[in-house]
Amino acid sequence: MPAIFAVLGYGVLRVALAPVWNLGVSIASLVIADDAPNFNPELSSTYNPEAEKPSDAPEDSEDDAISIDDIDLPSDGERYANVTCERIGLDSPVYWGDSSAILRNGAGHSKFSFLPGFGRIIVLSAHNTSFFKPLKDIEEGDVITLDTNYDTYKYNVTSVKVMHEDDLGKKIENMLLEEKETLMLYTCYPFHAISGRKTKRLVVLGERIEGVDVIWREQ
Amino acid sequence: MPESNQNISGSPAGNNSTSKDRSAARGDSTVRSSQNVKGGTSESSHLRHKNDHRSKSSDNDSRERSRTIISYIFSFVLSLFVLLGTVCIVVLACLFSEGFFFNVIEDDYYESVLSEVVTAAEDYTIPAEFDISVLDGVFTVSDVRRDVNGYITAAFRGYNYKPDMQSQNSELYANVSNFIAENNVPVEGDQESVISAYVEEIDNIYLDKVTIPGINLIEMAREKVKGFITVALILLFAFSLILCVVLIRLYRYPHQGARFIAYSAGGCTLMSFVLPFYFYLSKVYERVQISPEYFYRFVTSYIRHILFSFMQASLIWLILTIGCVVFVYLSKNNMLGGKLRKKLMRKIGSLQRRH
Repeated sequence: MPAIFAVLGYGVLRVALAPVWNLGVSIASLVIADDAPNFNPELSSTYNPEAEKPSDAPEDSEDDAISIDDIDLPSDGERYANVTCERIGLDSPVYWGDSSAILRNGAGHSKFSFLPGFGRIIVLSAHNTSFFKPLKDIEEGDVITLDTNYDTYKYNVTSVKVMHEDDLGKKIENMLLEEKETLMLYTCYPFHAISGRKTKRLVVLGERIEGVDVIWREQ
Repeated sequence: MPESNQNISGSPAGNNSTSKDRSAARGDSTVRSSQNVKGGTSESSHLRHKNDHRSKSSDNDSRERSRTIISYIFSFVLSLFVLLGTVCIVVLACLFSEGFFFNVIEDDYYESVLSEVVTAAEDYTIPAEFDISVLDGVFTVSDVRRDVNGYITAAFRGYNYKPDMQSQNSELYANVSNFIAENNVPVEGDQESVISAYVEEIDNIYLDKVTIPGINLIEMAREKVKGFITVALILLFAFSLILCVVLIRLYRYPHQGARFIAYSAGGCTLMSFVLPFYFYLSKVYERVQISPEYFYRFVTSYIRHILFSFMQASLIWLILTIGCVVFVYLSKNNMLGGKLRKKLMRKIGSLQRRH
């Protein structure tokens, strides 16, 4: 009899408290995932500098584009590229995402921007005290190489500017709509000076001069 | 008033009318047939008596059935009342209790908060061109413990808590000044104000981390709901008591009513155990996606303690169920023993008289 009472009781309460129950289930579905959260995600890497790239192929090759299906899209905290600029000594691993943990280990690729080859803006950032410290010497005309795990891209620096962090946010918003592949590297400014909270940013923009396009699907 | 109620209340008018009607309906044909066959009046009166007896026992059966059904309904309602009362008690004793909050906080909670404070402060310090060594020894576990506990106490007692950060600030200020002097780092603008801005930012990081998010909401909810829950608890207790009394009074012997109270307690035991136990075993609450880690651990520990509280309450109801069952068993045995004793005494008496 107690078992019948328990089943009936749950049924009665389920019906009587349906609005509360449904609200609770809705909230739970928003905050409960399939697995417990991982608070110590280890940064991983799929970057292989030795891998054969389409741009390594002979010049008469017809491979001027690759399908998105042929790319290993990086996951959060995964290193998929390396950014270099020989003249200024820039050499930093690039991770997907820009959390504090990532910025301690290299440059972060903002997840709201695009991967190289997609013909849109690519936004990388890092600390000016570590990986992007060499940017203090960058000049227009320098070539930045972004070696990914699917191709090597080169960008010609077209602009080096210092701007307020709020203006930078607006600039990125506008550039997200442009159908033009631009590499943006930014870091805190000034270098080697204590200024309390740093509200200025050094912003470097470059246009793509080498590298294959990535197409969404085989046409 | 429905007919069944009249039967239960034992109204003589109700009983007589139904028994007469039924005997008329059943008995007349039997009487007529018996008169046709034998024509004897003694036979017919015997049959009438037999029919009356049968209809009376049928009335008793129906009354007994109605009483049992009503007892089951009352018992079920009682189990729901007790369950709701259990929920109210758990809410008052756990959700809105300052002591429960401190029980939930695990020993390493303060260490986790400290680690989070230091990491966040370092993330701010690195781009600010300082070395992270300027944070060495600025924050301690005892500071964190004092301020976390201070915020909780203040939230539950309805006042504002403001941590005293003077010693931490002066230590940080001294560290930063030394760093600038030792490393000869250029300062953009007034050094004093630059350092003050940095220290203020680190203070904000610290204050943000030592506050348990949402604790003020719990206090607000407590203010609004506590009165209502208390009244509900009193009403549920009163109604439960009335139902218990009614169940006992419905029967001649208390153990007969106690059987239904045992059902209620048993039902409540299961209801307050099964669902929390399921959640506890399936660990659904551990999949909640909140950060930072120390807050996630606090929330999961909080939910786990609440589930435990329900399981502890179910243990109390289980003990009550067992108590009721034992009472019913013993009372029944005593009653049967008493009846047997009386029978035995009567037999011995008649044997003695014969001799």
